[in-house]
This record gives sequence, structure tokens and C-alpha cells, in this order.
Amino acid sequence: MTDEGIVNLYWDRNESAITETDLKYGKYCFTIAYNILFNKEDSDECVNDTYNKAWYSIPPQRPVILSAFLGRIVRNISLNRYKENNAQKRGGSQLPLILDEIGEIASDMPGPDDELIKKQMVQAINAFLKKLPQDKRVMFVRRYWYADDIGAIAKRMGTSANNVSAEIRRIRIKLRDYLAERGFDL
Amino acid sequence: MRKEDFFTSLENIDENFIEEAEQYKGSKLNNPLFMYIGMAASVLVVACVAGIFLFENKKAEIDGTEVETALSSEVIINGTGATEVTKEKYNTAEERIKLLKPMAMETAIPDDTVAVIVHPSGSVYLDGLEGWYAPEEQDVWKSAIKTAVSHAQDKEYEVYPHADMMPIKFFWKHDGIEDNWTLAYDGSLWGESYVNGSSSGLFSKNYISPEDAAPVASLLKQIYDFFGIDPITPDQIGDITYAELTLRGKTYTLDDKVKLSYLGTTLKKGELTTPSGCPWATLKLTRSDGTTVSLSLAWDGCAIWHSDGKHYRYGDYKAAESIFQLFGIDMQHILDSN
Repeated sequence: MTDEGIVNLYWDRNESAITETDLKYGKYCFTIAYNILFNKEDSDECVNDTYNKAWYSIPPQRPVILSAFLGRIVRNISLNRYKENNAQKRGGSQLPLILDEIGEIASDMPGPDDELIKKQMVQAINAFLKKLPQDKRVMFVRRYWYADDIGAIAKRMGTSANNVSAEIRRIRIKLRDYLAERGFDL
Repeated sequence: MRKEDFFTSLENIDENFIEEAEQYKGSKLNNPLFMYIGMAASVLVVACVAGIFLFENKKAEIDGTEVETALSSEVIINGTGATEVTKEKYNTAEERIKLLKPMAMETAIPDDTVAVIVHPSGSVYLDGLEGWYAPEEQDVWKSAIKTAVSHAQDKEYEVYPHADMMPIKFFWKHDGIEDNWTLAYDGSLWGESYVNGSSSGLFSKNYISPEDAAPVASLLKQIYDFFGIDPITPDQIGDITYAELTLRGKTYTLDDKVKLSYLGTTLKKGELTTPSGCPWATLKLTRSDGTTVSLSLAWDGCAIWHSDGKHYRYGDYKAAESIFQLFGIDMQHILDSN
């Protein structure tokens, strides 16, 4: 079924919207949750919560890109679950490693709560990503949005894990400098 | 800004980038088939150098002298053991000469030949210059591999989570299939079976359980044991009296006691972690009892070292940077120049 068809089911308040969403995006959502949580039960619950949230968000919303819409929800829910669990570094979860890497960009000191500043920062990151070659942009998004492990990214990109690791590191440094030049004190 | 807040903020990046990243499947130029061609070319270069080495050593062998050195040359002709560490391992037992005899003299692995690739820490494996040799009992290997691969599963969600990889794998190209599987410490096999050089077909089945992998794992384990590969743990690093770091073909040394002490203390902080796909430098340490150990040190900012597939995290980026600074290396400069 097309994304438009699925969204229409939500708008019609037809419960098969959930079934169709699960058929088309169940694995996709689970992957994002699992990358963050590394726990099957928690990931399953987060995926179900995602469907629930989507059910109550559509309508009024009408997502243009359904995968990104669902992905954003499951990512957010999974991250909150991770925080709630006060998860320790469990083997396999990518998040501790990813947060370590992000330590090169953000100081980990309390930052501004100002939503406007955060919004401007995201806009700057979007501008930065737009300038990157496509393959480098994909690597960055796979690592820091989908929380993919390096091996999975390498497989997707058809290159070696070493290349991916080194490339992502270079992108991090460039992004750090890019944001600093634009006055974002992270 | 808190690291978690930064990660959370990223959820609002442009949806088009998110969709693009989901749909991106890699370029043809990055196809693993091309990677194999590249690796084969690299092996060819090694073989040329090794050929010269062999010529010199064969003379010694004919004279009845330096058999062990001749053995080294035989190892090198196949690309394996191009470092001192590996050569030492090959040289320690005379029986090993017998086992090494069946090693093929060609530099590229022939079709329909099961080849075992060994790459202990300190070897040049991660530069793509792999070595290999063909076990004598090919039929036994082929039969065991076919059975194991028929039980391969899709473990998309758990690639590398708990399975630290041993530095040994096999490669077998046959009937349009390229089997390339690595043994993990838990006895499972991780890898791929390319069909006609493409990533279709069996590609997604990347895991063979310890039970299903047992016959092949047993064969690989025998070879692993033969080479005497023994991963070191942080507590085995001991007191360091000399250190030698080889990074991208250049060697840096360290003999300052204070710096060596810091180096040892930092490395000993290592805690077992998940395998990492970092680029590696080789760090050779001489201990106070005169023995040496080699380990692989990530040089991309990850504070990780590994010994024969066992990975240890010793701190954060700053810790990694400080280690390289001991050797007078500016990590930022290295990354930029790369």
C-alpha cells in the first residue's frame, strides 16, 4: 500500500492503518528502536507506542514522508525509554558509543534551553548536511539519526568499516567547526 | 550542550535527508566485488616484493642454512606474516613447516579452493594485504562449509553485538558464490556469501550459530591454535620499557619512563567493548621482562585498542589524543592529511 493510502486510513479512523503501517514500516521502526535500546522487548513496546502516537497524531497531521514521520516518533520514544531505564553501557547498543562520538561536538555542559536557539542550530546542521556529498551525508544520518552501527553502515554503503569510521570522524570535526564559526557555543 | 540533547535535537533534521539515508543502497563502484579486485591488486604488490625476498632466502635454504628464515619467506610469498610479530609466530616450531607446505604459491586465491586467512594483531591485514593458505583436506572443509552455510541466518539487528571476531576467516569462491566468513570467539560465524559478485541472494544471511558452525569452527580453531594466537588483556600489558608505534607506514618510538608509565596506565584502563571498525596503528610494547606484545590502536579518535579481535575502550577522545601526543603525533593533523 502507498504511504498516501496508509495516511488516508488514519484519516478515515480505520484501524487497519496500524496493520498496514506495521507491514510496511514495522521492521524499519524496530531497527531504529533496537539500535538505541538493544533490547527486543523494549523495542517492540516502543514500536507499539509509535503506532499509538501516530494514531492520535494523524489527523490532524498529514505526513508528507511517512517513514521519516514514524522514524522520528520511534526515535524519540526509544530515547526517552533509554533515559528512563538509566541504561548502562550494554554490549551492542550503539547509543553510548554515539554519545561518546558526539562528545567531540558538544561539551556535555548544560546548554541553552531556548527552543529558538536549538531550532537555529538544527537549521545550521541542515545547511551543513546539504553541502555534503550524498554518500557522506547518508553516513552521517545513518549514524546519528538511525543510530546504525558502523558495520551496518559499511554494508549499506558497500565500503569498509574503516572507511566509514574515518569518514564519519572527519564529518564530526567539520560540523563542530561549522557550528562554532556560526556562534553556537556547544 | 548535553550530548543527549544534541542527539535528540538531530531528530528534527530535514526529512528528505532521513528518507534519502533510508533509500540509499551504495554505489556500484563501492560494490564488494571491486573491493576484492582492489585487495587482489594489493596482494600482487606484496607478492612482487616477496618474490625478491624468496629468491634471497632460497639460496640460504639450498645451502642448508637458515631454514627458519626460508620458512618466513614461504609465509611471505603468500602474503601472510609480513611483520616481525607474525614471522616470530611462524618460526617457533619446526612442525609448522610441514603444515605450511600445502600453502599455494599463487598470490591470488584460485577458484574452488578453500583458503584460510589469518591476521593476528600487528599484521598488515587491515591495510588489505591479506595472506592465506589452503588446507590440505579441501574436501573435508568444503563439505563442512556447505553444511554450515546452509544454516545461515539473517541477523540484521545484531551484527557484531556480542561476537568478538577472532583473527581468522575462510574464503571460498565456487559455482558463482564467494563465501567469506569470520570465526567469532563464541564459535559462531559471521560473514557473507556473495552470489555472482553481487549482494543479492545469500547476502542478508550473515550469521551461523555456534551449533551449526561447529564443524567449520573446529577446523578453523585448529589452525588458530597452531599459530599460537593469544589475545592479550589489559592486565597483561605490564610495565613497559619501550614502545614502538607504526602508523600509516611510519614508525615512532618512545623510551621516556614517565611517558611510558602514562601509556601503560592508560592502556590498562581498557574495558572490553564491542568490536569497532576503526583504522588501526600497530603498537609494539616491550615489557620489563624483555618480552614484547603487539596490539592495534585506533587512530581515528576512538579510544580503543584491540588484540586479535578483543576490543578494549580506555577512555574518551582526549585519552586517545593524549596517547598519540606521547609519540609527538598530532591526531588532528593525521586526520586532516588523510
